[in-house]
Amino acid sequence: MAKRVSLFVTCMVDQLLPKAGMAMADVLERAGFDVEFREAQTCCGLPAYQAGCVAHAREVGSHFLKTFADADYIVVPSTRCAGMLRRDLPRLFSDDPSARGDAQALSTRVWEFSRFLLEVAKVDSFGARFPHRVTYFDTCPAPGQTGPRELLQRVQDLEYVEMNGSAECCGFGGSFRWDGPAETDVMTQRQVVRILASKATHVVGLDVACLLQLRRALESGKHPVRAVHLAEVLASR
Amino acid sequence: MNLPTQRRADMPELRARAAAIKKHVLANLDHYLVETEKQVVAHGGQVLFAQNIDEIVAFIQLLAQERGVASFVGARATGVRNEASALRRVVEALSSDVGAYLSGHLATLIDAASFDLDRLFAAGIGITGANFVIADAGAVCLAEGDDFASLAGAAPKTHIVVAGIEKIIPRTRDLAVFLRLLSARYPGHSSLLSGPRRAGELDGPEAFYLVLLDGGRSAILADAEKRELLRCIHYGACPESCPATPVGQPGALTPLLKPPLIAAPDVYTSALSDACREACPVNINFPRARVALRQDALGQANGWVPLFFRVWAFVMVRPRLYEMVALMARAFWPVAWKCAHPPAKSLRQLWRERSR
Amino acid sequence: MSRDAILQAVRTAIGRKPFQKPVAGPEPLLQIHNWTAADRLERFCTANAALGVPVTLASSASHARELVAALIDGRSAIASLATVLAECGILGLAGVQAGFPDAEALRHACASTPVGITSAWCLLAETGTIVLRSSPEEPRLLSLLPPVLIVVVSQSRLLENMDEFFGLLPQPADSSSATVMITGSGRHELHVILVGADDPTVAPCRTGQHREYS
Repeated sequence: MAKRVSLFVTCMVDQLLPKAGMAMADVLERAGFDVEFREAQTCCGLPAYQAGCVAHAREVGSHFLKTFADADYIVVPSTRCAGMLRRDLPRLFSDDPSARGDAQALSTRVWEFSRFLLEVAKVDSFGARFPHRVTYFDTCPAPGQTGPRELLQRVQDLEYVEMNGSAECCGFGGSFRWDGPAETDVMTQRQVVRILASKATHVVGLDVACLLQLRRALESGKHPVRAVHLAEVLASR
Repeated sequence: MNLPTQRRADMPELRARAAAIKKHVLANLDHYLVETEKQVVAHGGQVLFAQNIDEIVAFIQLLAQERGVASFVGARATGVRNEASALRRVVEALSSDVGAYLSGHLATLIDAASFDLDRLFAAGIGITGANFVIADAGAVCLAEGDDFASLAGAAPKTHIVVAGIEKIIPRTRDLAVFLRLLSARYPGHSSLLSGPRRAGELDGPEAFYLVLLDGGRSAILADAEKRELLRCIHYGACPESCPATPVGQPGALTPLLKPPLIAAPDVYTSALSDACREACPVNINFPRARVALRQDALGQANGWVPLFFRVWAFVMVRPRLYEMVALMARAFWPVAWKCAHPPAKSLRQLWRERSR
Repeated sequence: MSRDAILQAVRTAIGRKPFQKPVAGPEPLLQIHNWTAADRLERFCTANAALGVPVTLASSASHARELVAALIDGRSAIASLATVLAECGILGLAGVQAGFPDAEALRHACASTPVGITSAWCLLAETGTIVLRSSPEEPRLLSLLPPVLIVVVSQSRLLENMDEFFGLLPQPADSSSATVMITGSGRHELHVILVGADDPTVAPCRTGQHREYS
């Protein structure tokens, strides 16, 4: 009987890049899992938390706890949201030991997509085919990961090329963007230049926010490079 | 972001010990403050406790008057960046003639032009910071790339050390951990200075004062989430490891100790990566502390942010409301990210359509 | 009084009472490798080679004196009153001034002489570090001011690292107002001369038979 995983797609994937979430579901099914999507899901609370509105983040965190209380595996297509849930969810409930305990237990069942594939599913090949020249962008908070690169390199007909400075910030950085648009644009442009220098036609990442930041810059510069989520590549045939 | 020190085999152990020692000191800080005072006095020095910079300035002015001192010389141990700003302010505030021998960041060497022997010898008071204050020795440790702070401490008749209360470490042998951590980044010159010259010594100061500055640190100590910021040893890996360099923060204590205490906009500059925490040699959970700082900042200001998130949270715990709001947002707003139009359907819509 | 207010604020912040004894704190990591004298010598030299500091091995007292004379090269020099310098006859070299009647004379000499000659309390092999401690024989300014600094040390004082140093001397602050650890040249032109370097079995430091300065 196949194991069941519950998708937490994140509000950004839900609204702005649903393809990535659907692709993630496809890949997980191909890896032998039953995939469910709980409609009650909304957000992990990261925006409020990072802004310092811990009380409001807690409300949203409670909702997450309720929604996924009995899920065995919660798979997330975002390094930032997965990081938030794994690291900071328990902290939202520092005044409530029982909720904190629940959050602690649940946080260990949250998995960023690529880590889930490598560490839980232990599958690295999905019959995927992606005949393009591809480079990889390290999204926070997980720079320098070899796992996703390995996953990419097992895709048929994919030509992998490393870009320079892949671990430097794309400029999205949460409220960074609103507080310092000039600096963020400089940072994004720096990465765009590096992506172009790699001569890749596609840049792959694990987080929608970063991908959208790059995509915006690539499109406004009319560059033909596409920013896609790892799941989309692994789901391609 | 590839720091040479990360390759030391003993780095994880050093970091763990350093964090543990600092944690212990902070949890027993009053005891170590009292012990420091006792040992400094035993070695012939004096200790003053200062609530803020103004008290230090007043003290130095009084001392200068009593001793007929006309000029000062100041120097900063490398990496003691916060003390440098405190020192600079101290030195600037003094009305007398001031010579400043400030060593630069990290490995920058001073050229002959800014090193003036006459001024050094004319100065009646030398003022330095300290990297560490050692409780059982009643001594301060200055770790620098070069020996300017040592000169400022050795030549003038009076040596005043200004150090935050968080600089304390318990024992001389703890330097085996802390200097090792620092020495990879600031090789060169480490001095352990304890009080005025001993009987028979021909040089060194005749009077030694250790000024222990609170300056808001006891308030930070009281907050469990911010307390670990006080472990900072000015190692400097955090800005280097930040993926958003050069826009990253200069040091764990910087947003705290520059007035007004917490509201600095720097607190909001963050790329949300974990790199600083991973790079910190004393394992400061800087991202967590930053959230606490932002929480405080919001508490003090009455901006739109708390109101925004109040509404946001209201929506986010109601899935159907969220879906409606999202639909409307997509229909009427170009996305804040200004990329191509949002997709026609959200994932949840697609999922419903997916035949299951 | 600021002192009491601050101590009280600290106690309140951490929830402790006056005179409350803390539990024993965690120990630092002390790394003792048990290197042989030959090991230590090699590491010290290698470390200083990487730092660009010339280390010369003198096989005898007179050899050490010749080396220093060559480095002085006709310039004026000031020397500390360290025993090893006297024993090697360095204090008697032409152009070398040693012993100062008072602080003023010392200061003037340090500020105006191109070469300084001193010994060291010990050396640290692991990092190539020179440890100087101020004393009646060794003033601080001698190692701080002259642009050229020659350090003459018996090889018997070559320790492994600062961990061993603190093991031998747990409270350096008790017997000297300044203990300085120099690694690399910094502003100065630094030269190290090791005396008695071709007898690798000599290691009196380990058995505590070294000389104390004070």
